[in-house]
Amino acid sequence: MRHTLDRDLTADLKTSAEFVVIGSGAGGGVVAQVLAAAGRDVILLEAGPWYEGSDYSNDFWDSMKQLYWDKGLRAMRGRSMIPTMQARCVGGTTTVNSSICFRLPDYVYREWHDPFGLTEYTAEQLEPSFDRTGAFTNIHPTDRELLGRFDLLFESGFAKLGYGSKPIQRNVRGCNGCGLCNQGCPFDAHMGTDRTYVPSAVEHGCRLYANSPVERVLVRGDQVHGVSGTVRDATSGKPKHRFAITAKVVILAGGSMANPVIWKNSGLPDPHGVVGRHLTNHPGIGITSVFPGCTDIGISVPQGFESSDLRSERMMFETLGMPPEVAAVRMPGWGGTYKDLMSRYHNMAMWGVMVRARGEGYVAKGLGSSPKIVYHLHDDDLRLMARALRLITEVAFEAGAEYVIPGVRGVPKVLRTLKEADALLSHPLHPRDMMMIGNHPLGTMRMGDDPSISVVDANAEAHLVKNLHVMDGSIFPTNLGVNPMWSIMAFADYNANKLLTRY
Amino acid sequence: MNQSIEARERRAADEQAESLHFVSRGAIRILCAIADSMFPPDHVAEAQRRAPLSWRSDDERDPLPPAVLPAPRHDHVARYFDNWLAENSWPVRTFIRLFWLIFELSPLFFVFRLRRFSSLDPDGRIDYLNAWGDHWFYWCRMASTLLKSQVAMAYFADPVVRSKFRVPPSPLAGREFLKWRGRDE
Repeated sequence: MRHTLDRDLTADLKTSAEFVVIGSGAGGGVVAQVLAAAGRDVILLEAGPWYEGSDYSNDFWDSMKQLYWDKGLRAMRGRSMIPTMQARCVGGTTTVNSSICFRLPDYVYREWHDPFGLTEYTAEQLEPSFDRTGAFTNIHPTDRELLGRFDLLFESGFAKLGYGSKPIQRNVRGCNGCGLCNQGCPFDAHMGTDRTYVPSAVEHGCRLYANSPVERVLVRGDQVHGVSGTVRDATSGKPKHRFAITAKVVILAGGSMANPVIWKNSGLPDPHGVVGRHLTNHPGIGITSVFPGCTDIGISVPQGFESSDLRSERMMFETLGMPPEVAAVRMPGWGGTYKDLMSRYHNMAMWGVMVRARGEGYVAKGLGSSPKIVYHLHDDDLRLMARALRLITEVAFEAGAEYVIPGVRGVPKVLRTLKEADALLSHPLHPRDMMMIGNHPLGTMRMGDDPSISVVDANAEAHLVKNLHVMDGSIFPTNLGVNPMWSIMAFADYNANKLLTRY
Repeated sequence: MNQSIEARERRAADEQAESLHFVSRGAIRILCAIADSMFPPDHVAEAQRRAPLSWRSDDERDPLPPAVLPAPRHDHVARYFDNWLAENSWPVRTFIRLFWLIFELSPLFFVFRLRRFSSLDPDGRIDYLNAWGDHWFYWCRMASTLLKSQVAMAYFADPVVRSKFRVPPSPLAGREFLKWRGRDE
């Protein structure tokens, strides 16, 4: 575990800084670096520890409890329980994702112009920020040498149906394709903010306190005054000291799940009830297909190929490597037949579709330390998922799959022909019939010019609390249809540079 | 066959219970019975195989036989769950134990058998587990999925299983990893 200032504390901490940044993920890590590199006095606070590659285990449960909030068991309630995972460590979820990077699609900028008044944000305006963050984190297309055969089968299947696909752009340096991205990169090849922006910020004098979750943002009148919280022991998680930091500017970048809870714990104003509302995400669902021959699953880049041809129809297809523990949950049944299915693990390919869902939800204070997360899928989203599953099943058969395991209740558990897959379209689907995962929670502190529908203005400053800024994915007014990490970093870079001129 | 499996599970439970802190003898039997129902020894699996899946090895690039899935080691499963329970707070531990108890005592309501789950024969166990997994009530299906996920994590955390199953036993560095994959041979 890397050394951070919280471990030197012998008593409660009372200090001050010009800027306090809460959260060190795609938003906070970038903001802290931009400010520190400009010579500003910055404190960066992170709830989790700062790990090194040698700290990670490839035991699935060990990594879940080490790296994720609620030991990886967090779920969104609603029409069904949808698991959603957020990392709890320096770098946030940039530390333990599949490193997928996309620029923000043009249609998203256009969608934000009218209803939210965000005319300032255009592809041209943000391009320098995308270029800077892309260069800093070494974003580039996945090297073909690192792809597994399941990626190449994905490519050939889509090509046979007339769709394009290509290697995914990833922020890695020296990746050897070990497949452990979601359990923490043991080789430090993953260029999350924990390996890029945060070390750079610390080099430029930023004071980093890890294991220090913020509980309240302190306000005097209508102006932010500082933050307070508890420093916890890095291994046991037990409270050690209290901290209170006064600051001229506070930047909230704890993510879509944490920001609304901090806001409400702090008693900050929310007359229109918009804080925590409009939670969006990209629900993901996948199929497992079995091919003759080894597919390299579990021993190559977990997500190396994508097809964006149907992005305009709100669907985005990506390959998805998985460890045997995850495959084991997706296999239907028990006993001998189940064991037969699992014995084909090395022949499996899992391909997923990420839907740009219309459904919305909210985040509120929950019991204990976990937030209450509610999300309702729209019926259109279900129809879209059924269509996407049918299409990707067709892709699998085109690529030569022996059989496909759709993981959907009410349709055959093992599909041997494409005709059987038609049941996906004819069967009325319910969210509880499918094994989904909620990816990329966004939008709980959304940005806009109208305080009745948004929390922060176009400068990412709270409408009702001066000098309190929000700079992470929670400000995006809608979901994006693509993985949001690069967009969050670029927006943080753009808005952090605005802070330098303003303060 | 049923008696030998049950005797094996009971023996393992007795041996392990002495050294464990959070998992009781009864819980070990339940968890080992679930693990045995997921990854049964070969002779049991053979008898249970109801719809054999085709196996083609005509891929010229890389013909690959099915992976070896050894029978679960009960002592490992018991120790894994003991550690896992130790990491949860007492209310969560109580809830989990209560669920295991309900699961153990409910065959009557799912497969109309007046026996405990761990006392059912292997086929009866499969029927019971399938009844949970295919139940109309969402929370039964969810509980079944969670059980499967927990037992799978325990099973694949065993280094013996990982080695026989041909997944990397630990993160291997650089060229060593590529060699393991057979990429630079």
